[in-house]
Amino acid sequence: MNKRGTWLVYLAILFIVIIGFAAIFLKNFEAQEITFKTGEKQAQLLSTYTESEAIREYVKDSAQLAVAKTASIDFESGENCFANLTLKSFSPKVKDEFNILLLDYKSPRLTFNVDFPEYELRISNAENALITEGFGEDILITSDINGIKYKASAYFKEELTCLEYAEYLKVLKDAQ
Amino acid sequence: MAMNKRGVIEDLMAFLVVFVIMSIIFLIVVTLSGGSLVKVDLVIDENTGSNVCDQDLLGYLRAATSTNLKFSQLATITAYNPDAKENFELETNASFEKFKRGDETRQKWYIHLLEDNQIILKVGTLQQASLQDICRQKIPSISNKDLVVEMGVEY
Repeated sequence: MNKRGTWLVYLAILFIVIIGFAAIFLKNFEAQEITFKTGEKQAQLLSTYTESEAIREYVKDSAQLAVAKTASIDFESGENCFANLTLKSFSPKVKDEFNILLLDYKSPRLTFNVDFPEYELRISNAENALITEGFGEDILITSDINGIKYKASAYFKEELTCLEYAEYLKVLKDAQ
Repeated sequence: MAMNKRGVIEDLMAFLVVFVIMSIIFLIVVTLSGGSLVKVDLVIDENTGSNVCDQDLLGYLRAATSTNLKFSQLATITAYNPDAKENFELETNASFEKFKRGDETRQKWYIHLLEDNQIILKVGTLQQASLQDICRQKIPSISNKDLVVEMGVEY
């Protein structure tokens, strides 16, 4: 065998060894599947924000309903429907109705707990409307997932016009 | 002459062997640098759909009807007064005529009014939606019953 032939034998052996190592190497690093789940915390944060918006809507609607319910005992609809209303005796009754509705709130997003503050309501008489303002500490929303806490502003201002009151009155008279 | 021919073949063989070795080294380098042997999947949170639904439902409940009541208020009244159901359906259908996602108007949706988990009113053509495309919101009730508005959309 000449020199070149010997060199080829060594190369062949080296080739087989390298193929062997490569096979072991590829076996260890064979196709791996890595899955990144992303957006879970962001989605939870977005849900928290949605919850705060929904609660504020519920609070405002509750105030409107509480005012309409209380007024329906003594007042008819029409022009200047609240003109003869005495706020001093009216406001505490509205607050009672309002608190009952807040106690009734359950979040449809089940992972959330909601703590309402003690609300102070200020009701004022405007032309053809009653204006209700609500004050209190922030509404606290907590989530069991990720331990997220969010504080939504409790303040609201809603106007119940005589036209809107007339719509409520149609059914509230039956409820009494 | 014969010797020269054998020399050429041996040279070619040597070249081939080096070529194979270089290919393997190349493959190893590519693998080590995180090449095509690692399959990476990116999964967006599965609740994203219901978040969009929640926002759409809130938008609907806050929207004004022709009598200036909000839909949430109209739903409260309708649950207590069966005579108001027709008006609720008309108002809701009119509101959803403008319901779009991107440029496309959504035709397949439903609004259900639930009292103590029982459906008392159905509006919309969609019969069923997947779980992540259904959302609910509680609204105040005139009676002491639990009142919920449910929306389902085919996104």
